[in-house]
Amino acid sequence: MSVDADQLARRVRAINVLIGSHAGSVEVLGVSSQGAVSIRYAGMCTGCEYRPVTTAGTVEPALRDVPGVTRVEVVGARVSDEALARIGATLDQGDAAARAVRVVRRIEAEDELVEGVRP
Amino acid sequence: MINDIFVFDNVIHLYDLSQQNVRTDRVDAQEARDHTLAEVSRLRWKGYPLHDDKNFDWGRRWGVEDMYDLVFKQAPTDMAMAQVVPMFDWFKDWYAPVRSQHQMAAAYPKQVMLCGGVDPNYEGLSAALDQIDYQVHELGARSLKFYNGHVKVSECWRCDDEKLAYPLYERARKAGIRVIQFHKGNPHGLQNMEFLSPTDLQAPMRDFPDLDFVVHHFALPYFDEMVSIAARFPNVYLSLAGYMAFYRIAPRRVQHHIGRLLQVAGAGKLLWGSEAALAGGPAPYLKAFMDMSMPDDLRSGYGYPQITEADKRMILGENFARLMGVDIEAKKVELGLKQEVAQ
Repeated sequence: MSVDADQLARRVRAINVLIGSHAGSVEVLGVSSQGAVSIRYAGMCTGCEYRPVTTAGTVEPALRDVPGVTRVEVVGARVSDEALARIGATLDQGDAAARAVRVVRRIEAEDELVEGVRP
Repeated sequence: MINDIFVFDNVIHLYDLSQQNVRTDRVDAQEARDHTLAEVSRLRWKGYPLHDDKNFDWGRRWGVEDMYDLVFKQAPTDMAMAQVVPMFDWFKDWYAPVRSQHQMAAAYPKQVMLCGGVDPNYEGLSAALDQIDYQVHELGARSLKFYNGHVKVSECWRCDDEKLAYPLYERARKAGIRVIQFHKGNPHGLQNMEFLSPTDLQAPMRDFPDLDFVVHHFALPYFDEMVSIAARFPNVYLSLAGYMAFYRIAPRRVQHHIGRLLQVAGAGKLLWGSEAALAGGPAPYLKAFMDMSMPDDLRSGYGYPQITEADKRMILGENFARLMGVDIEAKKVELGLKQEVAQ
């Protein structure tokens, strides 16, 4: 299943509304034929030590919710597998991933409503 | 190459620590030269033919063929940048003279690029600006190196000085330079440390977003500041610049630093630099780098990622090639490292 470019772009816009509150953003570098989405952080996210938490708790689940996306790869700085496991364990308890998906879907819906009333 | 990994050394210096080059009008010059030679002799690893040669005089003016042998014949280096060291404090023709670096680049133009160097407090800003034009347009310099920390405080300058430093960057940009480089940290003797902090690079990094800034030596001991800057600014890269020589002395420290940089700045921000010939030949350091891995306890306890072959490939050559506009695959063909594939 291929990834619809417009759907992915809408999702990235919604993610950026969310993390824009921290003056950061993500950029899509490419999508593989297997559905792996390659991204990089921009803005204030580039110097932030909490990037891995943002990836695991917000960006990755929100992108994986897009049909056809199978994997999210972040280019640049990264943490160890052990650190990722700890982050994952903590986030599971808080249901952060599900919340992130709910929030970006709502942002997309609000965006569509605004689009609909524009002349 | 190492296997098929292209090695582009960000920094080699044909230095001149010969007795003839020592300034006689500075009382500390002789001691500084002797101390430097003694200090670096302890850094050089055993097992490299030249390092074991008791009769070899390291206090010399390095020549082209000696350097080519050291870097390219006895080590798997494919390209290198010969960098001027415009430290005039103790040396008449500077620490690593313009002429020597140019001779190296002129002798091996397919493999060696020239990084020029100037200092606004040597003969004044105007002379430094003229030198930029000369070194770029006449000598073919592709980058410029700056040393703003000197022994005398009156000769130091700040990299964010809009009247003294910014004209250098503007002139470099006008001449077509896109990569400028800075010695930070790693003091030569009793210099004031504050001039060697990388924090004064933040304003020019913001104000010259079209220039890439390469900072050497991880700005040690200002490592945390350097990490923060490298992580936040898109146009900054860090040169290892001889740092692997410390791996024999303190491997955990090197792993800590590399691990932290991979964790926060990413492998895309790091450049291989051997600092030959002062640190000796690059071969043992390249081997140590290729063999290096991130220990379990550092990965678990500090969250540092494992260093991968892809990371090493970027650090050893891909990153600097990208900055300098070198097409690695085309260069491999040009250097006879691989056959051209028919389209």
